[in-house]
Amino acid sequence: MNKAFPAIVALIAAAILQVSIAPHLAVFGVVPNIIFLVVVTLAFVKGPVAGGVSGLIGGLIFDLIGTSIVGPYALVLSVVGYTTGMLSANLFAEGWILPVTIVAVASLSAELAYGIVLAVLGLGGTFWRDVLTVMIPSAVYHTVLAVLAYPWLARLLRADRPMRSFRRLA
Amino acid sequence: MKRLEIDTRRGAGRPILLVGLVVAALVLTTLWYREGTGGPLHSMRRGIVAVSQPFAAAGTVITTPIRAISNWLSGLGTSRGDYDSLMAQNLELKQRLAGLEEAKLENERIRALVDFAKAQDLKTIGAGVIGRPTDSRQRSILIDRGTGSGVKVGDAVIAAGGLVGQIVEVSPWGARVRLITDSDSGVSVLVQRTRANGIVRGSIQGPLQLDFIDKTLAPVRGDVLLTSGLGGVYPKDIVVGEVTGVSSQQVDLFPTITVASRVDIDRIEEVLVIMGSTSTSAQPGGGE
Repeated sequence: MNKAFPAIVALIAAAILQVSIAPHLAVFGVVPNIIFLVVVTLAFVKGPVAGGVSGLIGGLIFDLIGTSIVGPYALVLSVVGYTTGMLSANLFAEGWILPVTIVAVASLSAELAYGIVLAVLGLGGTFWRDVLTVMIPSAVYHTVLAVLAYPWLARLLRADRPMRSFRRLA
Repeated sequence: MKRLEIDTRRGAGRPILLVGLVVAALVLTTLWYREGTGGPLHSMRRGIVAVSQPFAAAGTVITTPIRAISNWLSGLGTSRGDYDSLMAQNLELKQRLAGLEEAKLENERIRALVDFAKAQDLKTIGAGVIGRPTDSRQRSILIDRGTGSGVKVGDAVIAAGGLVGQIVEVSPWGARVRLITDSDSGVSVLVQRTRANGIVRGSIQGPLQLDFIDKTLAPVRGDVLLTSGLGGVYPKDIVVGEVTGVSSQQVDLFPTITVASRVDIDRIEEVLVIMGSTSTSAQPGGGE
Protein backbone atom coordinates (compact mmCIF):
# COMPACT_ATOMS: atom_id res chain seq x y z
CA MET A 1 0.00 0.00 0.00
CA ASN A 2 1.25 3.46 -0.87
CA LYS A 3 2.82 5.13 2.16
CA ALA A 4 1.07 8.38 1.31
CA PHE A 5 -2.37 6.77 1.29
CA PRO A 6 -3.24 7.37 4.99
CA ALA A 7 -2.14 10.99 4.67
CA ILE A 8 -4.28 11.53 1.58
CA VAL A 9 -7.28 9.93 3.26
CA ALA A 10 -6.71 12.05 6.37
CA LEU A 11 -6.57 15.28 4.36
CA ILE A 12 -9.72 14.43 2.41
CA ALA A 13 -11.51 13.49 5.62
CA ALA A 14 -10.32 16.73 7.23
CA ALA A 15 -11.65 18.76 4.29
CA ILE A 16 -15.03 17.06 4.54
CA LEU A 17 -15.19 17.64 8.28
CA GLN A 18 -14.14 21.27 7.77
CA VAL A 19 -17.18 22.02 5.60
CA SER A 20 -19.64 19.78 7.43
CA ILE A 21 -18.95 19.61 11.16
CA ALA A 22 -16.42 22.34 12.00
CA PRO A 23 -18.82 25.25 11.33
CA HIS A 24 -21.14 23.85 13.99
CA LEU A 25 -18.33 23.57 16.52
CA ALA A 26 -17.64 27.31 16.43
CA VAL A 27 -17.18 28.87 19.85
CA PHE A 28 -17.71 32.65 20.00
CA GLY A 29 -17.19 32.77 16.25
CA VAL A 30 -13.93 30.80 16.33
CA VAL A 31 -14.22 27.87 13.94
CA PRO A 32 -11.85 24.97 14.56
CA ASN A 33 -9.42 24.29 11.73
CA ILE A 34 -9.42 20.53 11.35
CA ILE A 35 -7.17 20.66 8.29
CA PHE A 36 -4.55 22.42 10.40
CA LEU A 37 -4.74 19.75 13.09
CA VAL A 38 -4.28 16.98 10.54
CA VAL A 39 -1.34 18.72 8.85
CA VAL A 40 0.44 19.33 12.14
CA THR A 41 -0.15 15.73 13.23
CA LEU A 42 1.15 14.50 9.87
CA ALA A 43 4.21 16.68 10.29
CA PHE A 44 4.75 15.33 13.76
CA VAL A 45 4.50 11.67 12.87
CA LYS A 46 5.90 11.70 9.33
CA GLY A 47 8.50 14.46 9.42
CA PRO A 48 9.22 17.75 7.63
CA VAL A 49 8.75 16.56 4.04
CA ALA A 50 5.30 15.15 4.70
CA GLY A 51 4.50 18.16 6.88
CA GLY A 52 5.48 20.66 4.22
CA VAL A 53 3.78 18.91 1.32
CA SER A 54 0.59 18.16 3.26
CA GLY A 55 0.67 21.77 4.49
CA LEU A 56 0.71 23.08 0.93
CA ILE A 57 -2.11 20.76 -0.15
CA GLY A 58 -4.15 21.24 3.03
CA GLY A 59 -3.66 24.99 2.92
CA LEU A 60 -4.72 25.09 -0.72
CA ILE A 61 -7.87 23.14 0.13
CA PHE A 62 -8.58 25.52 3.01
CA ASP A 63 -8.10 28.53 0.73
CA LEU A 64 -10.40 27.02 -1.89
CA ILE A 65 -13.11 26.32 0.69
CA GLY A 66 -13.15 29.98 1.73
CA THR A 67 -14.08 33.14 -0.14
CA SER A 68 -10.84 35.10 -0.04
CA ILE A 69 -7.86 34.80 -2.37
CA VAL A 70 -6.16 31.44 -2.89
CA GLY A 71 -2.59 30.87 -1.77
CA PRO A 72 -1.93 32.67 1.56
CA TYR A 73 -2.95 29.82 3.82
CA ALA A 74 -1.16 27.31 1.58
CA LEU A 75 2.00 29.39 2.08
CA VAL A 76 1.56 29.60 5.84
CA LEU A 77 0.60 25.98 6.39
CA SER A 78 3.40 24.57 4.24
CA VAL A 79 5.97 26.50 6.28
CA VAL A 80 4.30 25.59 9.58
CA GLY A 81 4.03 21.94 8.53
CA TYR A 82 7.68 21.80 7.52
CA THR A 83 8.85 23.54 10.69
CA THR A 84 6.73 21.30 12.89
CA GLY A 85 8.16 18.28 11.09
CA MET A 86 11.68 19.54 11.73
CA LEU A 87 10.90 19.94 15.41
CA SER A 88 9.40 16.49 15.63
CA ALA A 89 12.38 14.96 13.81
CA ASN A 90 14.84 16.46 16.25
CA LEU A 91 12.96 16.38 19.52
CA PHE A 92 11.74 13.34 21.28
CA ALA A 93 9.75 13.28 24.44
CA GLU A 94 7.56 10.68 26.00
CA GLY A 95 3.91 11.47 26.51
CA TRP A 96 1.63 13.96 24.87
CA ILE A 97 2.77 17.22 26.42
CA LEU A 98 5.38 18.06 23.78
CA PRO A 99 3.12 17.39 20.78
CA VAL A 100 0.29 19.40 22.30
CA THR A 101 2.66 22.24 23.18
CA ILE A 102 3.94 22.25 19.62
CA VAL A 103 0.36 22.31 18.30
CA ALA A 104 -0.30 25.38 20.46
CA VAL A 105 2.83 27.14 19.22
CA ALA A 106 2.19 26.07 15.63
CA SER A 107 -1.41 27.27 15.78
CA LEU A 108 -0.47 30.67 17.15
CA SER A 109 2.37 30.96 14.62
CA ALA A 110 0.10 29.96 11.74
CA GLU A 111 -2.59 32.43 12.80
CA LEU A 112 -0.09 35.26 13.22
CA ALA A 113 1.60 34.50 9.90
CA TYR A 114 -1.75 34.24 8.12
CA GLY A 115 -2.84 37.55 9.64
CA ILE A 116 0.39 39.19 8.49
CA VAL A 117 0.07 37.79 4.96
CA LEU A 118 -3.54 38.99 4.73
CA ALA A 119 -2.53 42.41 6.06
CA VAL A 120 0.25 42.64 3.46
CA LEU A 121 -2.28 41.78 0.76
CA GLY A 122 -4.66 44.42 2.13
CA LEU A 123 -7.20 41.86 3.31
CA GLY A 124 -8.66 40.90 6.66
CA GLY A 125 -9.58 43.15 9.55
CA THR A 126 -7.60 45.19 12.02
CA PHE A 127 -4.50 43.16 12.84
CA TRP A 128 -4.32 43.77 16.58
CA ARG A 129 -8.00 43.22 17.06
CA ASP A 130 -7.62 39.95 15.15
CA VAL A 131 -4.85 38.92 17.54
CA LEU A 132 -7.25 39.14 20.46
CA THR A 133 -10.44 37.95 18.81
CA VAL A 134 -9.22 35.27 16.42
CA MET A 135 -5.58 34.31 16.73
CA ILE A 136 -5.24 33.67 20.47
CA PRO A 137 -8.71 32.08 20.84
CA SER A 138 -7.98 29.86 17.81
CA ALA A 139 -4.67 28.73 19.30
CA VAL A 140 -6.37 27.89 22.59
CA TYR A 141 -9.21 26.07 20.84
CA HIS A 142 -6.82 24.07 18.66
CA THR A 143 -4.75 23.12 21.69
CA VAL A 144 -7.83 21.81 23.46
CA LEU A 145 -8.85 19.87 20.36
CA ALA A 146 -5.32 18.55 19.98
CA VAL A 147 -5.46 17.11 23.50
CA LEU A 148 -8.59 15.21 22.47
CA ALA A 149 -7.75 14.32 18.88
CA TYR A 150 -3.98 14.06 18.62
CA PRO A 151 -3.57 10.59 20.18
CA TRP A 152 -6.15 9.10 17.82
CA LEU A 153 -4.90 10.96 14.77
CA ALA A 154 -1.30 10.01 15.52
CA ARG A 155 -2.24 6.35 15.88
CA LEU A 156 -4.12 6.43 12.60
CA LEU A 157 -1.33 8.13 10.69
CA ARG A 158 1.54 6.18 12.19
CA ALA A 159 0.70 2.87 10.59
CA ASP A 160 4.37 2.11 9.91
CA ARG A 161 5.21 2.33 13.61
CA PRO A 162 2.19 1.05 15.54
CA MET A 163 1.71 2.41 19.04
CA ARG A 164 0.42 0.25 21.82
CA SER A 165 0.01 3.08 24.26
CA PHE A 166 -0.90 6.75 24.14
CA ARG A 167 1.96 7.38 26.53
CA ARG A 168 4.51 7.32 23.71
CA LEU A 169 3.25 9.34 20.84
CA ALA A 170 6.03 11.55 19.64
CA MET B 1 12.65 15.49 33.02
CA LYS B 2 11.99 14.82 29.35
CA ARG B 3 14.67 13.03 27.36
CA LEU B 4 15.82 14.68 24.16
CA GLU B 5 17.51 12.78 21.35
CA ILE B 6 17.84 12.84 17.59
CA ASP B 7 15.19 10.87 15.74
CA THR B 8 16.83 9.76 12.52
CA ARG B 9 13.98 7.59 11.31
CA ARG B 10 12.08 10.45 9.76
CA GLY B 11 15.19 11.96 8.19
CA ALA B 12 16.52 15.47 8.18
CA GLY B 13 14.80 18.43 6.62
CA ARG B 14 15.31 19.48 3.06
CA PRO B 15 15.63 23.27 2.83
CA ILE B 16 15.28 23.13 -0.95
CA LEU B 17 11.87 21.54 -0.48
CA LEU B 18 10.80 24.36 1.83
CA VAL B 19 11.89 26.90 -0.77
CA GLY B 20 9.98 24.96 -3.41
CA LEU B 21 6.83 24.93 -1.27
CA VAL B 22 7.02 28.66 -0.63
CA VAL B 23 7.55 29.34 -4.33
CA ALA B 24 4.63 27.06 -5.19
CA ALA B 25 2.35 28.91 -2.77
CA LEU B 26 3.43 32.28 -4.15
CA VAL B 27 2.82 31.04 -7.70
CA LEU B 28 -0.67 29.96 -6.65
CA THR B 29 -1.39 33.38 -5.17
CA THR B 30 -0.10 35.13 -8.28
CA LEU B 31 -2.08 32.80 -10.52
CA TRP B 32 -5.24 33.56 -8.53
CA TYR B 33 -4.77 37.29 -9.05
CA ARG B 34 -3.85 37.05 -12.72
CA GLU B 35 -6.21 34.39 -14.03
CA GLY B 36 -9.74 35.29 -14.98
CA THR B 37 -12.87 33.90 -13.37
CA GLY B 38 -12.62 31.02 -15.84
CA GLY B 39 -9.09 30.11 -14.70
CA PRO B 40 -8.18 26.79 -13.10
CA LEU B 41 -8.18 27.98 -9.48
CA HIS B 42 -11.49 29.79 -9.83
CA SER B 43 -12.91 26.69 -11.52
CA MET B 44 -11.59 24.54 -8.68
CA ARG B 45 -13.31 26.78 -6.15
CA ARG B 46 -16.60 26.50 -8.02
CA GLY B 47 -16.09 22.74 -8.08
CA ILE B 48 -15.49 22.70 -4.34
CA VAL B 49 -18.69 24.67 -3.76
CA ALA B 50 -20.57 22.00 -5.72
CA VAL B 51 -18.82 19.06 -4.09
CA SER B 52 -19.01 20.41 -0.55
CA GLN B 53 -22.74 21.12 -0.73
CA PRO B 54 -23.97 17.63 0.24
CA PHE B 55 -21.40 17.40 3.03
CA ALA B 56 -22.39 20.80 4.39
CA ALA B 57 -26.05 19.82 4.27
CA ALA B 58 -25.28 16.52 6.00
CA GLY B 59 -23.33 18.38 8.69
CA THR B 60 -26.29 20.65 9.33
CA VAL B 61 -28.63 17.68 9.67
CA ILE B 62 -26.24 15.68 11.85
CA THR B 63 -25.64 18.52 14.28
CA THR B 64 -29.29 19.56 14.56
CA PRO B 65 -29.93 17.55 17.77
CA ILE B 66 -26.73 18.90 19.33
CA ARG B 67 -27.71 22.47 18.51
CA ALA B 68 -31.22 21.87 19.82
CA ILE B 69 -29.88 20.57 23.12
CA SER B 70 -27.44 23.46 23.31
CA ASN B 71 -30.21 26.00 22.68
CA TRP B 72 -32.43 24.30 25.23
CA LEU B 73 -29.71 24.38 27.86
CA SER B 74 -28.75 27.97 27.19
CA GLY B 75 -32.37 29.06 27.24
CA LEU B 76 -33.08 27.48 30.59
CA GLY B 77 -29.71 27.94 32.19
CA THR B 78 -30.66 30.60 34.73
CA SER B 79 -33.88 29.09 35.98
CA ARG B 80 -33.47 25.40 35.30
CA GLY B 81 -33.26 24.48 38.97
CA ASP B 82 -36.74 25.85 39.64
CA TYR B 83 -38.27 23.88 36.84
CA ASP B 84 -36.47 20.56 37.13
CA SER B 85 -39.43 18.64 38.52
CA LEU B 86 -41.89 20.12 36.04
CA MET B 87 -39.51 19.43 33.20
CA ALA B 88 -39.32 15.78 34.12
CA GLN B 89 -43.10 15.49 34.18
CA ASN B 90 -43.56 17.33 30.93
CA LEU B 91 -40.69 15.78 29.01
CA GLU B 92 -42.83 13.51 26.88
CA LEU B 93 -45.24 16.31 26.02
CA LYS B 94 -42.39 18.61 25.18
CA GLN B 95 -40.89 16.07 22.81
CA ARG B 96 -44.20 15.87 20.95
CA LEU B 97 -44.58 19.62 21.01
CA ALA B 98 -41.05 20.18 19.68
CA GLY B 99 -41.93 18.83 16.26
CA LEU B 100 -45.02 21.02 16.01
CA GLU B 101 -43.18 24.04 17.32
CA GLU B 102 -40.39 23.63 14.78
CA ALA B 103 -42.92 23.45 11.95
CA LYS B 104 -44.68 26.54 13.28
CA LEU B 105 -41.45 28.51 13.57
CA GLU B 106 -40.39 27.51 10.08
CA ASN B 107 -43.80 28.56 8.80
CA GLU B 108 -43.48 31.95 10.53
CA ARG B 109 -39.98 32.51 9.20
CA ILE B 110 -40.93 31.67 5.64
CA ARG B 111 -44.07 33.80 5.86
CA ALA B 112 -42.01 36.73 7.14
CA LEU B 113 -39.58 36.26 4.26
CA VAL B 114 -42.36 36.16 1.68
CA ASP B 115 -44.07 39.21 3.19
CA PHE B 116 -40.79 41.08 3.19
CA ALA B 117 -40.14 40.28 -0.48
CA LYS B 118 -43.67 41.27 -1.43
CA ALA B 119 -43.35 44.56 0.42
CA GLN B 120 -40.10 45.27 -1.39
CA ASP B 121 -41.53 44.25 -4.78
CA LEU B 122 -38.48 42.15 -5.52
CA LYS B 123 -38.13 39.16 -7.79
CA THR B 124 -36.75 36.63 -5.39
CA ILE B 125 -36.21 32.95 -4.88
CA GLY B 126 -36.16 31.26 -1.48
CA ALA B 127 -33.17 29.21 -0.40
CA GLY B 128 -32.19 27.17 2.62
CA VAL B 129 -28.89 27.67 4.43
CA ILE B 130 -26.95 24.41 4.30
CA GLY B 131 -23.45 25.49 5.28
CA ARG B 132 -22.00 27.84 7.89
CA PRO B 133 -18.69 29.76 7.89
CA THR B 134 -15.82 27.29 7.59
CA ASP B 135 -13.16 29.43 9.21
CA SER B 136 -12.84 32.14 11.79
CA ARG B 137 -11.91 34.99 9.47
CA GLN B 138 -14.16 34.66 6.49
CA ARG B 139 -17.88 34.93 6.89
CA SER B 140 -19.77 33.03 4.24
CA ILE B 141 -22.64 30.58 4.08
CA LEU B 142 -23.74 27.95 1.58
CA ILE B 143 -27.28 27.96 0.21
CA ASP B 144 -29.11 25.25 -1.68
CA ARG B 145 -29.89 27.24 -4.84
CA GLY B 146 -27.51 27.60 -7.77
CA THR B 147 -27.41 28.30 -11.47
CA GLY B 148 -30.10 25.66 -11.92
CA SER B 149 -32.48 28.02 -10.14
CA GLY B 150 -31.22 31.11 -11.94
CA VAL B 151 -28.90 32.34 -9.21
CA LYS B 152 -25.88 34.31 -10.45
CA VAL B 153 -22.69 35.70 -8.99
CA GLY B 154 -23.41 39.18 -7.66
CA ASP B 155 -27.03 38.56 -6.68
CA ALA B 156 -27.96 40.09 -3.35
CA VAL B 157 -29.23 37.88 -0.54
CA ILE B 158 -31.72 39.10 2.03
CA ALA B 159 -33.71 37.82 4.98
CA ALA B 160 -36.76 39.14 6.78
CA GLY B 161 -34.64 41.60 8.75
CA GLY B 162 -32.72 43.00 5.80
CA LEU B 163 -29.53 42.48 3.84
CA VAL B 164 -27.55 39.29 4.41
CA GLY B 165 -24.85 39.35 1.74
CA GLN B 166 -24.00 38.67 -1.85
CA ILE B 167 -23.45 35.58 -4.00
CA VAL B 168 -19.72 35.12 -4.69
CA GLU B 169 -19.54 31.57 -6.03
CA VAL B 170 -22.21 29.56 -7.70
CA SER B 171 -22.56 25.95 -8.84
CA PRO B 172 -25.51 24.23 -10.51
CA TRP B 173 -27.02 23.21 -7.18
CA GLY B 174 -25.70 25.66 -4.64
CA ALA B 175 -24.02 28.98 -4.03
CA ARG B 176 -21.71 30.64 -1.55
CA VAL B 177 -22.84 33.91 0.01
CA ARG B 178 -20.35 36.41 1.40
CA LEU B 179 -22.04 37.85 4.46
CA ILE B 180 -22.07 41.56 5.19
CA THR B 181 -20.20 40.66 8.40
CA ASP B 182 -17.20 39.42 6.39
CA SER B 183 -14.20 41.69 6.81
CA ASP B 184 -13.80 41.89 3.02
CA SER B 185 -17.40 42.99 2.58
CA GLY B 186 -18.40 46.60 1.97
CA VAL B 187 -21.92 47.91 1.42
CA SER B 188 -22.68 51.40 0.17
CA VAL B 189 -25.40 52.76 2.46
CA LEU B 190 -27.27 55.91 3.32
CA VAL B 191 -28.63 56.96 6.66
CA GLN B 192 -32.39 56.97 6.30
CA ARG B 193 -32.94 60.12 8.39
CA THR B 194 -30.07 62.32 7.19
CA ARG B 195 -29.48 60.76 3.73
CA ALA B 196 -25.73 60.79 4.39
CA ASN B 197 -23.76 58.23 2.40
CA GLY B 198 -21.21 55.84 3.87
CA ILE B 199 -19.81 52.33 3.66
CA VAL B 200 -20.75 49.55 6.06
CA ARG B 201 -17.90 47.11 6.57
CA GLY B 202 -17.81 43.79 8.31
CA SER B 203 -15.28 42.82 10.94
CA ILE B 204 -14.13 39.46 12.19
CA GLN B 205 -15.60 39.57 15.67
CA GLY B 206 -16.97 42.99 16.30
CA PRO B 207 -20.14 44.64 15.06
CA LEU B 208 -20.52 46.14 11.60
CA GLN B 209 -18.82 49.48 11.15
CA LEU B 210 -20.04 52.51 9.23
CA ASP B 211 -17.18 54.43 7.61
CA PHE B 212 -16.75 57.64 5.64
CA ILE B 213 -19.69 59.53 7.16
CA ASP B 214 -19.15 63.26 7.44
CA LYS B 215 -18.97 64.40 11.07
CA THR B 216 -21.62 67.03 10.45
CA LEU B 217 -24.02 64.37 9.21
CA ALA B 218 -23.20 61.76 11.83
CA PRO B 219 -26.14 59.53 12.66
CA VAL B 220 -27.46 58.93 16.15
CA ARG B 221 -28.15 55.68 17.94
CA GLY B 222 -31.17 53.97 16.41
CA ASP B 223 -30.84 55.49 12.93
CA VAL B 224 -31.65 53.00 10.18
CA LEU B 225 -29.20 52.35 7.36
CA LEU B 226 -30.39 51.42 3.89
CA THR B 227 -28.49 50.30 0.83
CA SER B 228 -27.82 53.33 -1.35
CA GLY B 229 -27.81 51.47 -4.66
CA LEU B 230 -24.57 53.27 -5.60
CA GLY B 231 -22.27 51.12 -7.67
CA GLY B 232 -25.12 48.85 -8.66
CA VAL B 233 -23.96 46.07 -6.36
CA TYR B 234 -27.01 45.94 -4.11
CA PRO B 235 -30.57 47.09 -4.86
CA LYS B 236 -31.52 50.43 -3.33
CA ASP B 237 -33.31 50.75 0.02
CA ILE B 238 -32.72 47.35 1.54
CA VAL B 239 -32.32 47.63 5.31
CA VAL B 240 -28.73 46.95 6.35
CA GLY B 241 -29.01 47.59 10.10
CA GLU B 242 -29.31 50.12 12.87
CA VAL B 243 -26.72 52.42 14.39
CA THR B 244 -25.81 51.17 17.86
CA GLY B 245 -23.05 53.58 18.79
CA VAL B 246 -21.33 56.77 17.64
CA SER B 247 -18.09 58.14 18.99
CA SER B 248 -15.75 60.76 17.67
CA GLN B 249 -12.46 62.28 18.78
CA GLN B 250 -11.42 65.74 17.64
CA VAL B 251 -8.54 64.30 15.63
CA ASP B 252 -10.72 61.77 13.81
CA LEU B 253 -11.57 62.57 10.23
CA PHE B 254 -14.67 60.40 10.43
CA PRO B 255 -16.65 59.31 13.49
CA THR B 256 -16.52 55.70 14.67
CA ILE B 257 -19.97 54.28 14.12
CA THR B 258 -21.06 50.76 15.03
CA VAL B 259 -24.01 49.10 13.38
CA ALA B 260 -26.07 46.03 14.26
CA SER B 261 -27.79 43.99 11.59
CA ARG B 262 -31.46 43.23 12.17
CA VAL B 263 -30.78 39.73 10.87
CA ASP B 264 -29.47 37.12 13.30
CA ILE B 265 -26.91 36.13 10.71
CA ASP B 266 -25.27 33.40 12.80
CA ARG B 267 -28.55 31.51 13.12
CA ILE B 268 -30.23 32.29 9.84
CA GLU B 269 -31.87 29.25 8.23
CA GLU B 270 -33.73 30.61 5.20
CA VAL B 271 -32.89 33.47 2.86
CA LEU B 272 -34.15 35.08 -0.32
CA VAL B 273 -31.92 35.61 -3.34
CA ILE B 274 -32.83 38.73 -5.32
CA MET B 275 -32.67 37.64 -8.91
CA GLY B 276 -30.75 40.01 -11.16
CA SER B 277 -30.46 42.32 -8.20
CA THR B 278 -28.00 44.72 -9.74
CA SER B 279 -30.73 46.24 -11.89
CA THR B 280 -33.54 46.00 -9.34
CA SER B 281 -34.73 48.75 -7.04
CA ALA B 282 -36.65 48.11 -3.86
CA GLN B 283 -39.30 50.29 -2.29
CA PRO B 284 -38.09 53.02 0.07
CA GLY B 285 -38.12 52.36 3.78
CA GLY B 286 -38.09 48.64 3.41
CA GLY B 287 -38.26 46.66 6.59
CA GLU B 288 -39.45 49.57 8.59
